[in-house]
Amino acid sequence: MASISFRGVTKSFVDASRKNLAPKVVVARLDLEIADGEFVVLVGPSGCGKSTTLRMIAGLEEPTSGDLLIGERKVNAVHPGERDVAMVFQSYALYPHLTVYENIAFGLRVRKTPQSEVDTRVKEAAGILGLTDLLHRKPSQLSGGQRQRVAMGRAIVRKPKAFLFDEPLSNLDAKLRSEVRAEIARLRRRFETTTVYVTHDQVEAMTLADRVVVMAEGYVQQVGPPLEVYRKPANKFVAGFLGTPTMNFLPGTLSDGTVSGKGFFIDVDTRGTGEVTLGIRPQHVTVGKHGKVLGEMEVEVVERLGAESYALGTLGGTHFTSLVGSEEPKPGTRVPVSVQEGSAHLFDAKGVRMEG
Amino acid sequence: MRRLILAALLLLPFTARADEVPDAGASSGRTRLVLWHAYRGTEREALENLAKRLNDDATVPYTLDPLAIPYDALVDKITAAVPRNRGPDLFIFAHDTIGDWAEAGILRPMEGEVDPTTLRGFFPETVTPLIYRGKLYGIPLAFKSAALVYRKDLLPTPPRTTDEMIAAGRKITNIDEGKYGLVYENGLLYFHAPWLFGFGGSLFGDDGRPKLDSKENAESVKFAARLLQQEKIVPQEVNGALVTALFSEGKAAMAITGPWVLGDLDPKIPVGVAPLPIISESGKPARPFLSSEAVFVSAKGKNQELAMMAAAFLAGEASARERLLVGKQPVALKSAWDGLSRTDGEVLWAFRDQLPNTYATPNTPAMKSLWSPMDNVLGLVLHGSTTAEEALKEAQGKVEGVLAKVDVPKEEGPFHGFTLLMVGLALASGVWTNRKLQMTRALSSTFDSRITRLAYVYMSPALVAMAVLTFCPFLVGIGMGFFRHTYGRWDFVGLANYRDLLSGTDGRFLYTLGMTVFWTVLNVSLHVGIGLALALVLNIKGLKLKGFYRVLLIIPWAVPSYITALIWKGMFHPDLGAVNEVLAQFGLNTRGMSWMGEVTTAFLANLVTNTWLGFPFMMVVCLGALQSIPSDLYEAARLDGASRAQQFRLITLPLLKPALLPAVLLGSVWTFNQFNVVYLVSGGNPDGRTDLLVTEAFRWAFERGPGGAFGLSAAYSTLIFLILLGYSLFTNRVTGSLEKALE
Repeated sequence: MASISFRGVTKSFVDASRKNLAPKVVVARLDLEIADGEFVVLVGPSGCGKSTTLRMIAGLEEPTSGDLLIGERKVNAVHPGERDVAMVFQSYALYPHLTVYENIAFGLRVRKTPQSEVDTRVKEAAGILGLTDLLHRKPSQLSGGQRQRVAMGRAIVRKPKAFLFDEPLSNLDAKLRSEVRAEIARLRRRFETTTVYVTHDQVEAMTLADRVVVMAEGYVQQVGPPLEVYRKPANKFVAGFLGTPTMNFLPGTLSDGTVSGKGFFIDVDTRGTGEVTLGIRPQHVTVGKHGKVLGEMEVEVVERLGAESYALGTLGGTHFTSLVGSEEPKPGTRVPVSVQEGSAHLFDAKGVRMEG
Repeated sequence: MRRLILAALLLLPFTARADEVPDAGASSGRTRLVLWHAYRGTEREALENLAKRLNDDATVPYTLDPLAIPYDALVDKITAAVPRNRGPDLFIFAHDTIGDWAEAGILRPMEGEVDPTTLRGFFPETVTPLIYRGKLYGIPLAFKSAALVYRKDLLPTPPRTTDEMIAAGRKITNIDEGKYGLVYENGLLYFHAPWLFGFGGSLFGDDGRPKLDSKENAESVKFAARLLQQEKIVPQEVNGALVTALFSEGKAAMAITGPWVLGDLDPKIPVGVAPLPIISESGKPARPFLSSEAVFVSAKGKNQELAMMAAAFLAGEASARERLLVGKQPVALKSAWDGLSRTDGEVLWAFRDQLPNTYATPNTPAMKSLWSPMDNVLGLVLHGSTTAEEALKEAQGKVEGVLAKVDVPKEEGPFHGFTLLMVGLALASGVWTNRKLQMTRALSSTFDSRITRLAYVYMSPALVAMAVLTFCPFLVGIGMGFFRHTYGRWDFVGLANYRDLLSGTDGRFLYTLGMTVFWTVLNVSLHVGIGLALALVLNIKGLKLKGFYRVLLIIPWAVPSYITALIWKGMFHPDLGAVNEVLAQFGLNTRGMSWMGEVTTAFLANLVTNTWLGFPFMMVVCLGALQSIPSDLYEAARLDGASRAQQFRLITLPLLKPALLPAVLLGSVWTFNQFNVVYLVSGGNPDGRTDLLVTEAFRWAFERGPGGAFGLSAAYSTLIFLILLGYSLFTNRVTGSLEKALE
């Protein structure tokens, strides 16, 4: 078990197939300290650099500049096999010609582990993951969820310093995904090994992580415990990326504790003046006059999700979503919406969060 | 009903026989006679002039329709077509096959039909070869023999004796410049014959049976070896193309060759022709083989009387003059030569001067079994592998063995048993197919019968094609293995062919089998090894010019294999080949080293050629398989701590297997039956010891024994088939279980 540290790590690629020979920066000046035993989720849209970050830890990519440490050891150019980290691939990367047993045992065998120990550890790992009855099968004879578990078995059998997961659930259907998610959380509690987990799915990020690292275009946008990041997004990008339905953004002007814009008006704690963006999560606005009225929205559609319903439409010409209360509005009507106390987020012209 | 149709289909090739040659010219009331010949150039021109003149003359009761057929195909065409009444009325060919043809009843005997005075008008040397077992079978048109062809710019006067020839040759020869005094195909009996007969040797004893191991024959072989090894005035391993090339380029002053080569030479070259020199040792003139070209009348023709008239005309005075003056042909009719002065016809007269000192190629069928053993003797002695006496003695033994085989007692009903067996096999296969069909029908009974019927309709073109092109020849081949064949006669011998082959009475089956297996294993290993190595290189990420390399490496595969084989054969030539030259650049003493003289080197030459031909296929297969291995498997293995070698052994190789095993199976079958390379590069040299089963089978059918040992050859082929079938079934079982395991 070990900590992982990124100190000013940059990774850029030269794409030989492109005319433009300027290197493309994929990860830029990354500083990140992952504590021993911590579960960190790297989250962001595709192309944000999260997978490259993970592959640098694995040793499949080498940093262009900066230092990468596992424990106290600088590992920039250390062979992947010598880093003692285990990775679960998106495609699982199971060896198709080997049985489940041999797949799990592969890493031990390559390291010349004595057969008796290989056997004990493979069976132990298989027991933990419920693979004991499948050990003699080939990957092609397994279901998606079973393959996923073999991939995890291959990682845990080696008792590595760190687990790396590269979008491990994206090939599974929704129901299986939540099952395996729970399984990963359970394993994680059992082993308390440092884990870095890459996903583009915010639910996985929120449910699994000790800390989430939100990335966009090669830069870290925000690092913090999931709820803190959810409650206090550092910028418009993070605010929009986390949470479903997506946060409403209304352009407006701040002046003397009030933000006003086309069709809305709200009091805030923030001082100052200037152009701002008001952000409000749909969960914090309700159709009807219940408290502070924000303005009137034009309802286009009502989405019924079961436990709750949302009204989708526009407010002052901007897309707007609001929770529906006791009475459901008719599409095509204009209805007032009320906002919960203290739920407004303000972002300045650059999109950075403004504190009260 | 279906059964009947199937049986009928299978029998079709045996029963279908057209028996009519269409009679044309009926409108003019004249009978049309078809004449087959192999003339080209001026000879053909002269013949067609004659035919035209004849056809324009309405008083002649027939018309003549000459049809030119490639020389190499003519013998086979006549042998095959005439007995089936599809041949010509008359044809022109050399005399040496008349033994076979007379035995097979193809030729109409002419004894008593040609006026003896007319016959006396021809050079006697051209008439005697046309007599077989006391009967005359043709009327001579022309004679062909080798003579001494020389370049006047390099050699002003031709040598009269062999000593003069050697002295002149030594003066001209300069091996470093690739110049030689004399060039001739010294590995072939045909061109060795002048020395053989000049030394007083012979091919047949007084009893008419082959007699090779005489003292005189040995002397002549030693003389040929002396020209090559001591005097060094002759290049090694000469073939016909090399003779023409060296002579045309002025790199050879003298050549022993025939009139046929003159047409291939640049008219600007100052060519002289002289009779071959007198052998200084024996005092006798060198005597080349003589071919008497004659017109023959088919014994199966419908208008044999008219054909006889036409034959007489073709051999007659007017025709002979045309052929001599226009056709530039050394004609057999004495009187025709009056019209050609020595100065105008210098070259033709030189061949005529050679005529008295020639030796007519024996027309007995047994001659056919002497060529290849004698060529072998020459090959072995010229390479210095053995002495002349020993080689001749061994050849004598072999020839006696072969002749003992084909001299089977003649019984009645030549085609009877054969046809019966064929019919039996065809019926058996018909019944078998029908049973299979019924089983299929039982299986598919759940389907609408109209649909199954429609399926058969769709399949029928392919079924018919398969039956005619694959199954029938296959069955005929198997059936032939139970017979002995001589001159169109098939005698049932049961399993005797197999017994003789396996017991080693006929050839060295087990040696050849061992050689073939060794050859296959070595080749396929090299193909896979090199192919895989190159595929791994081509699969390197970021390798530049990848497409270019790929095309370059696939080229050997794209060139027809026989062309590649011939090119390699040329490159392995001892004096003029690139291989020895390149090796010599590395300080090896390889100049003049013969590759085909030793089993190991000849095998190596074959191996190199076939490896060159074979690796691209394996490379393509490997490359395809490599590219289909996902890269994350390697990433996972790297994280698991696998080194490059471990990744290759534990991931690459096992994942290549499913693609590679079928390729290896295919490659093995191809290599096992690699005819082109072995036949063209080493030609089985030395002494058939690099032959494979498939080239052996070919030699039995077409190169050994009179009349073609088709039965032995078929038995050979059936054995090859059984071996490969066994191998394929075995491999299939292994790969099949492997595939199942991979699922």
